[in-house]
Amino acid sequence: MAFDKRQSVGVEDSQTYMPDEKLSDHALIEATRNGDETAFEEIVSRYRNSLTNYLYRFLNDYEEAVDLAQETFVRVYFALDRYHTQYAFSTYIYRIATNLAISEIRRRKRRRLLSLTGLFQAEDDSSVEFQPPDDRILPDAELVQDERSEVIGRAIAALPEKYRIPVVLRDIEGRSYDEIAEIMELGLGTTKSRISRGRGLLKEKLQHYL
Amino acid sequence: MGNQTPQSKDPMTVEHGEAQISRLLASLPRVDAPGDFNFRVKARIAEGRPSEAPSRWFPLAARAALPVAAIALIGGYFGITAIYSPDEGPAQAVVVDSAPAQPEIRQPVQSLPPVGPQQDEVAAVVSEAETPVRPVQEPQTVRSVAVRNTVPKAPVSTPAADEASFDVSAPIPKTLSPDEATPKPSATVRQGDPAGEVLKRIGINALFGESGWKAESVSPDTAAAKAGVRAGDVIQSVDEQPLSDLGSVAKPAKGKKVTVLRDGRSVEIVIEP
Repeated sequence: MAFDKRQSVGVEDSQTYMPDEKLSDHALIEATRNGDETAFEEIVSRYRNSLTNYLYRFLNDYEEAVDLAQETFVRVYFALDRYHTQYAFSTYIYRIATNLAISEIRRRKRRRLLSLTGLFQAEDDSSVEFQPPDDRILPDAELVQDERSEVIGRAIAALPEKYRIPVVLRDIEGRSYDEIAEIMELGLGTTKSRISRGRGLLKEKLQHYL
Repeated sequence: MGNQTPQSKDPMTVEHGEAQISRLLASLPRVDAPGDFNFRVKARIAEGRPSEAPSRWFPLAARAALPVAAIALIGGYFGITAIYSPDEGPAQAVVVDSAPAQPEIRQPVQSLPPVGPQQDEVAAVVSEAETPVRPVQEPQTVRSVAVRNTVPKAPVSTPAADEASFDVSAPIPKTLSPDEATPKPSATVRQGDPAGEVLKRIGINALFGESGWKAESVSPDTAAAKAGVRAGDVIQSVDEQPLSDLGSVAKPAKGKKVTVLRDGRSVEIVIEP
């Protein structure tokens, strides 16, 4: 299947993606279903950065985040026929990415590739993970920002999944509570509660930076 | 009352702390996808559908299935071996015949059913090998009887066993002339005789297996041994009569010619008497 078989589009072809237009996600999906591979390329371009950033903050591993983001688009492409427009496409694609990330985390656990902090995490992932205090003295003021980002990233990655997903989606990706609830297939109240609880856990760990 | 610490659960404080965390997370630098992201997505799509992760239950199922299959195979083997055991087949009759001292001590069989082609389950075997010519003095006592597949491991036929094996209500021949009762001093195999019996008479000790009647050994100084029949030959036919199963030969056979399967080839061997 040629992905970019149609770079230039004829005006008379009503089903093709028009680069100058700002089509909705659903319109792009419909165009892709009708054979316009360029429309799918536009979808990839729209979501690749946000998905990569979301997965990076979720996994704290850039290479893995890029790999899973690509896998997300591949799965979306081959499952377009099963996609229903009752959900926002962003909700749909974030749900797939989240499921892939959760699977990856569980695969890591099975392979015993977690860091030392993983040893203090319960199997059901329902308890708060132990995070050793970072007492290192910052050697250079120029590295403060990088150091801070690294520590925050590790603190996020150490959160239990059920708190990490909504916190990242809300505070880093800026998704609405309703959308997060749909992505996680939870009620709105439960979603808000988990976000609040996740923030509280992070506050305990990152008191030094507040 | 007013000594609230920063860790207090005051809603305003909690909201303030959450807002701080929210701002802290929002201030994190964003990472972007690499420049070749679209190209790599295209390449993956061109490769085809993503491979589903193998079910983690599959190895467990495979681990359970292998021993079960092994047990089934072994059980099946022993089951088939038990069903087609040579001890219960035609060799039973052979054992009776091959005992040299037994014909003299056998007792008369009172209720001897008629022997014919329809009596497949009961084979009357004439003790010819050890008694080539017998005077017609006791015409009703010269037969020994073996029952195929009904009385396993009965090397010597006894009157009690014989009587128990036969239906007492079977018709008894009114008269038994000396000609009928006396065994014929020839190698002729009668109609209805089991295939193993036919082979045994010419010196081939064969067992019926997957490949057919396979010669386990050839008795030395017998016609078959002299003609060149070897252990391992699969006997396909005797006197043009195919031996394809455990059944009896359809027609009388003298065992003058056997066809054997040897090294994948069919070989005809003429048996000299």
